[in-house]
Amino acid sequence: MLTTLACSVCGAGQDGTEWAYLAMTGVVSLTPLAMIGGVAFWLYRASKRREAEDAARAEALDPRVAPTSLR
Amino acid sequence: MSTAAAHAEHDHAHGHAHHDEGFIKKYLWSTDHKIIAMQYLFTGIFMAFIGGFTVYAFRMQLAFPGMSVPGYGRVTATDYNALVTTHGSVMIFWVAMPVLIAALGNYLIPLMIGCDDMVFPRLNRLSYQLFLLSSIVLIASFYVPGGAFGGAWTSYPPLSAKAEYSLTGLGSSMWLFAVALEFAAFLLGGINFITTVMNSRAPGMKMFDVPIVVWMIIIASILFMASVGPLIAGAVMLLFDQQLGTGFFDPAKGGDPVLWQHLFWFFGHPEVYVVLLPAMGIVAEIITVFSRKKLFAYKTVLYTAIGTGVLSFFVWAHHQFIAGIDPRMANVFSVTTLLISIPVAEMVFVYIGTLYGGSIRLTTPMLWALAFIAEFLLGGVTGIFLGASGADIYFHDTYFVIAHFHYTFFPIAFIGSFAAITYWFPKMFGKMMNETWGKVHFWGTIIPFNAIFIPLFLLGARGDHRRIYDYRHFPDLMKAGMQDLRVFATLALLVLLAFQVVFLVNLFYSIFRGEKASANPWNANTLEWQAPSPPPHGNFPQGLPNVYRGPYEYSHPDRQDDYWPQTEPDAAKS
Amino acid sequence: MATTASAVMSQVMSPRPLPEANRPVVPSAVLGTLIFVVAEVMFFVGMISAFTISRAGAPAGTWPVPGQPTLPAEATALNTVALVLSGLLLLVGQVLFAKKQAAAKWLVLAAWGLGVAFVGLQGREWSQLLSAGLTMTSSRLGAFFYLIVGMHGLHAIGALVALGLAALQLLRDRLEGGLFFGAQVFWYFVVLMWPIIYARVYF
Repeated sequence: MLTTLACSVCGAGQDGTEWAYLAMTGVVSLTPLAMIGGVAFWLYRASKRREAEDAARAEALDPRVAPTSLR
Repeated sequence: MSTAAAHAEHDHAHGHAHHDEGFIKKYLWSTDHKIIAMQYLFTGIFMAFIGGFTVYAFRMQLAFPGMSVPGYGRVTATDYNALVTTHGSVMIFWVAMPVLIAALGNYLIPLMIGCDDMVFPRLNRLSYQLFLLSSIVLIASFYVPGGAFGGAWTSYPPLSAKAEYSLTGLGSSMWLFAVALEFAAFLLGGINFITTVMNSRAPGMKMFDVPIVVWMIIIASILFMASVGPLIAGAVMLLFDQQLGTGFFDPAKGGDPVLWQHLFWFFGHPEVYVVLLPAMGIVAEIITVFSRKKLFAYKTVLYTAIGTGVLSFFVWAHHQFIAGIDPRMANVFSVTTLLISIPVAEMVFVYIGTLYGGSIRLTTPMLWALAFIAEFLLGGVTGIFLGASGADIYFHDTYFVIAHFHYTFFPIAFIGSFAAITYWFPKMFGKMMNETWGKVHFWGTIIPFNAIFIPLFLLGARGDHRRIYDYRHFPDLMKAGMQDLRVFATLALLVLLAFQVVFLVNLFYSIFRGEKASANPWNANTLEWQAPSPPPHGNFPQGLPNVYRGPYEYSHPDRQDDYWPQTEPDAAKS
Repeated sequence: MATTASAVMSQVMSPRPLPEANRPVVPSAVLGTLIFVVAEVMFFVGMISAFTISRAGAPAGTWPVPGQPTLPAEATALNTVALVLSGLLLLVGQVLFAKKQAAAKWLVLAAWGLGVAFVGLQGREWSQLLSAGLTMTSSRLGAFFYLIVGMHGLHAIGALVALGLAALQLLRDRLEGGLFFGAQVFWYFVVLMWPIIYARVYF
């Protein structure tokens, strides 16, 4: 038969639950960072590549006004 | 001009072709990002009425228990629960989110990065339609048997899982459904924002030429995307518990109610930063323009915002210090919670650094921006007490918590929105807002706001519990002066609500009768001010702009003008 | 830059040559779907973590509840193989598509067929389990099983619809690109999510 617990957090002190909470806290917190980091890195590389292409193209078209940045 | 010709071919097929559409096609079924932004803005303002009305009703009950509230009637205990729940969920999910992220994101992103529309315009329209549907479902839940959901906006089971406990059977399911729909809407919006900024920036606009507010909305969208999943999972499970009788969170069936708290707060805390960051971005735009100074440290703001985002994934359990979580976990989350105040404080310092030595113009938007910094600071500082798990055991569920998060959320949702609306109003409607009435509204909001919540800090420090319907049954909480403080806070609330009429009158009067605004009334640099006010369909009739520099080149020593629009070529330097 | 007035004028009149306006850095459909997938992965991570915690907290001998059916881990290995194979076929199909080879469409179609087979096999498994007495309310294992596997199944069906439309476009040689790339990304997500669910929930 099902065992039921009388209070909402009776299970919290058990070793298994404690371990599961700690482990899942880690998993749930780190997964989004890993995914975002991956996507961000991919985008960063893609945009770097595009900037390089643009600079090359602008210079090839008209070297006199190659992109200037006074910052 | 040759640029116009060069860009004409890049205009999408839907570009400038259809200007003479019917009313429905133009305002209700539009894919134009500006119209969708206005839809979000006015829906958000409408929902703010509901949020304001609910707080009026239940604060009156707390100050004058048992009285018949004018305009509402007697507030029963069930009503009280429903009113509090609705106030919380509406103000966060249906006011702060749509106005700060959806409305401003939709309006500003394409204009500020110099493109004609979002990458997925039809997805954008769907996003608003889902949001509208979610609002309708939420409002409809007031009229079903049992009334609107009364289990608090955090919706903790087992209270929320069973109709016998929350006394709102259908109402709780409708609330969950509305929240889920709303998240789907913002999911679509967020996808649009991120993709648009990545792929549609104006030629020449590099990553570090993007205005801070756009960055902030993007980071907020990413946070939202990455944190909302577990809550949707939890919401589905809770819905099954309510409707199918499963036992995910029901201890009577072996379920674990604390699990919901984790799933909820894993989203719930990043959500604070989801709305904070856009407000921070708005403030950055406004204080640079009205101090006529370059933003003190562009990259620092950006990196601290990213740091805030990363840290915000590690703080959520500070809401559960007394929920029976592992003390080791409580320790870790205490430390991370205190840590996250560092990047936020750093942003505040950067803004103060920007103000330092600037030629400050105290216009209405600038007043709002300065008030944001001051008031949010108070909210942040009181958060330190609550983040320390030891102090939190005492403060948990008292009015100290209420006052703390209102000192964070009110500046975000209202001061931030007022700053944004008054600042971008000339662009949105092509008219100027009345400055005098704007300032009357400003002081009429800021003073009562502090008068509401400083008493609540005092009450909370004296142990005033937040979930009490009628204090007359709790003699310990009716001791010397405590009820007087409640009455004072409630009266201040009435003043605050009354002054919002000034804003509404000013808003609508200015839309129709305001003085005509030029394209760039504040002499600002960013791209949206290079478009006409209000921008036509397609945004830039002269062709999409080219970008030559960052967005904050104010008071450059080599120039006569104290501003230097992003679109002006270097060679034209005087 | 030492420029004379006329040089300044010429620059103002003829702006510097600019790259194509609004050229996407990465395909919009791929980026949009990827962001969506990030949210979806978190959805599944939320459910799987809830499952793990609930299972760890279950008193000894109650997971599964005695007398109720256990999950058919061995039989589901076949479903898993079908799904993974489908993902691999699609990957090869994409490579061939990039090389503009006609065989690509047959591979995409085969991947789609295997995906449909996976959903069908899952449906058969569900009906067997339901008739054996495992329901959403019979135990928390049942509730979690139908929740997680059901949600995955819904995503699989959605992805198959998109992939099927893309395959149709491909067969008619009328592919617009966006749909195919988006559907692909989503299908990879469905495929890669499954082994994790399989390893976590069935054993």
